[in-house]
Amino acid sequence: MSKCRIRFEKTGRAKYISHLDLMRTFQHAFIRSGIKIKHTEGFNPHPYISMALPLQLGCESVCEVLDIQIEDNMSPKSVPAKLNPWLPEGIRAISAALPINKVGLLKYVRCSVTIVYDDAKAEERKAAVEELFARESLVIMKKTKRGFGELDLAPNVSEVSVETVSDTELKITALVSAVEPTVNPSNLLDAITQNAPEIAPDFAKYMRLEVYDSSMKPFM
Amino acid sequence: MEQRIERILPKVQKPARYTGGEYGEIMKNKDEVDVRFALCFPDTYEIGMSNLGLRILYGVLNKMDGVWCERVFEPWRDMAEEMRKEGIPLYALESGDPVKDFDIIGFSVGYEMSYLGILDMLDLAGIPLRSADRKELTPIVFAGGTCMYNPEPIADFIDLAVIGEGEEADAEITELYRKAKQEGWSKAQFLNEAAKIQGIYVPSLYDIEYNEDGTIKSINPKGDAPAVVTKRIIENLDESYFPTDTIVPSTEIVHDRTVLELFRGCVRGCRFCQAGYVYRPIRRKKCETLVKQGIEALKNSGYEEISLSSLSTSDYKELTGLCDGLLEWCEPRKVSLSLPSLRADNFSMDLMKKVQKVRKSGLTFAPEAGSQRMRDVINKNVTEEDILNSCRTAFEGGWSSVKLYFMMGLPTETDEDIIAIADLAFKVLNTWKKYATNKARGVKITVSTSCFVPKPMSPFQWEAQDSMEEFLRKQQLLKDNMRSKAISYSWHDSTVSFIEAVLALGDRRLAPVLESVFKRTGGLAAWEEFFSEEAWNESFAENGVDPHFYANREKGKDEILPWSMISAGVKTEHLWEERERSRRAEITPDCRNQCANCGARKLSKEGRCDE
Ligand code: SF4
Repeated sequence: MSKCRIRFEKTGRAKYISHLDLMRTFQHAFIRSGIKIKHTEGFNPHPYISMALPLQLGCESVCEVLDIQIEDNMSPKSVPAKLNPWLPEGIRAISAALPINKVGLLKYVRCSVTIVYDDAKAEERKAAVEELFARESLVIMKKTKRGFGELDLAPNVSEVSVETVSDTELKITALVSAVEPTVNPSNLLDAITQNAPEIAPDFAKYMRLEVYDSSMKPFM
Repeated sequence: MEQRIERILPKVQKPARYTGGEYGEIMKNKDEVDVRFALCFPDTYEIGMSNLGLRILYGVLNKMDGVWCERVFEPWRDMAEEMRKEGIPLYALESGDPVKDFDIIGFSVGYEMSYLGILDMLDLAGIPLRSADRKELTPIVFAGGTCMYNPEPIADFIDLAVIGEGEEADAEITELYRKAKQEGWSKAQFLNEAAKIQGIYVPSLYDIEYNEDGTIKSINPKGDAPAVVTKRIIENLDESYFPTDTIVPSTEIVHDRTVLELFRGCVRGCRFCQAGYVYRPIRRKKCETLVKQGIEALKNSGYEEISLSSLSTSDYKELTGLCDGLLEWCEPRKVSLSLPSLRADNFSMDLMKKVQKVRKSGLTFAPEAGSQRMRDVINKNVTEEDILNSCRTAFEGGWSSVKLYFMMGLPTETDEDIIAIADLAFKVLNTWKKYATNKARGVKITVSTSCFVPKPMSPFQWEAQDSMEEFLRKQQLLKDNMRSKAISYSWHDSTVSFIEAVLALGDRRLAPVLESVFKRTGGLAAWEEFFSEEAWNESFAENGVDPHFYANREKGKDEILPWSMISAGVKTEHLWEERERSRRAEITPDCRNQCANCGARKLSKEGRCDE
């Protein structure tokens, strides 16, 4: 029995697969692949899979983390090659190894939000977007378990950069707090629509780029 | 994926059902494809992807060179609204291309209530609803599935219907279309040629004349159309395609498991059952084939459950061997085996116990009627003793919950027959009291009644459905006669069953009604939340159609029925004979005991039934 942490990406059409469905998708894929992994207990056992940080529906990612326990003496390194042919379009294991960090150490996420302006005046709004994320305080209303609550993004979002991708698109990249509080990429859009509605985009696309531990080393 | 679609997906529920991209989906290079086939299912993704027939056709068509078959489902309301608002036409899941640009649009229709789904999908696709308004060869719109034993209610919307099993006929239509496209045929020329293929019904080639009382005077075929279209069957199921390599949805569907089809047809001959008649002759798959295909399908999908599906699973001769063969592979791999539609006999109970080793599922029996007389009328050859014995075995084996299914409104039904349902449920309760090994857990007996809908091609095709008032009265009567709190009673809404009867027994004069209802309510009519009795009533009235003419009127022996140009291979005389026997409460032995000469065996080349 060996612990195994898989880094995988979820891109393209696959970004619409919900967290629960993704778990099921991996369970089926592991069975298809023939990789023997530990099952859950109980009357109705399933392959045991755990994901450190659920990804928001509609968000792409190139840095997802998934933990399993391999039952035979297969090396974790060989998992991606054995698993990838059995995964649906857009989901691909990038690497796998023995976990280094405890799951609780996952602290930061680097993500990007690409905002789209149909009127092709993205460049004109760049400065305003930059100004917004430079504010001392950037409070948004956020859905919580108990209804709506306020969250100040300023202390939880750093290293913000804004880049012009095309006439219609600006790409905001930022480092956000992953847990306590959880800042989702879509909260960056909330910051714009709630605090600067005049520059609210027509559409936004999200991507997780990297996950880090508390000392800013990639979470492995 | 198209930008416009991406923009609406975040706004709708369960977007994964609109994206495609699942494991096992078939993608083709458009340059190598000359026929694009949109396989449409007029209900949601979750229901459609659970349909074995759809998966079979998807595989068969994609095996054809130069043909790319893609899937299309009816979007849920939120999605349909967003699509209409943004002007996004219905698209196929694989390529994302608009359905209106496809060559062939084939609907699989298994339930009358999904007719509105056809209109919804055509409308969303931007395709004219009526066949007559689609002048060009492309696209050809057709329908297949169990409902097509009476295709008349949708006759004006489709260009043709495939009667019977579609594996071969769909491929033949596709080939003929390819030829037509290459040679530049007109639509009329194509349809005339298509009508020469066995099992193909082209509604526009039949003129219907009516009598003054509204009944049909004559059905007049034109051109090369045959007077009677006989259904298609696949003769050898062992050799025919079965999808062991199939799509595994990335989102939860209704039946998220591998499904095996043991045989087609049914030896039983229950007189209310359309499926039991239209799927004749009986053809079964060999046990080895099934074990092999089941294991292969499980391996390829990663599913953790396999279920055996057929009309009456326990009639499969080698069922024990099949279960053993599958369990041998499944048990060590923690894959569970489920057996729906078991009959209430001891043999099944042994099996239940075996299956239970892996997973315990609810126990259901379908006596269909409460009194022995009524069960004889419908030819449901099961006795009270059978039912109670099975319940006893179940209770002794530790089961504590039983569901009993009955039908209400069966021909010749009296109040005594209704009360007999309550009596039977009470006897089941007493059986529990006497034999249950674990009484501490209590017992739950659920009685559920549906409303009988007379179906074409069954011996009850001439019968009248009970009026809604009568159904309500009978439901109340049964409720009043239930004698214990341990027995709960639930019933189906008779309004939906009434509409179902109208659509099952209706003719092509219903086309404008369907259009009106669609305008009022949109698609997804099989879903309770979107069903509107008012919309149906208004639409019948608006179009001067009397729905009771179809549903609540008993038809005469010699009346030309709307589906008289269709044959499922069973002789009408046989159906009538069965109807007469039902009136005398006379049972007919099942096919295994004695062939009743229904005529269906003539459909197979060897002229026999593999009962
Ligand atoms: S031909 Fe005979 S055995 Fe075959 S389905 Fe008809 S009645 Fe049954």
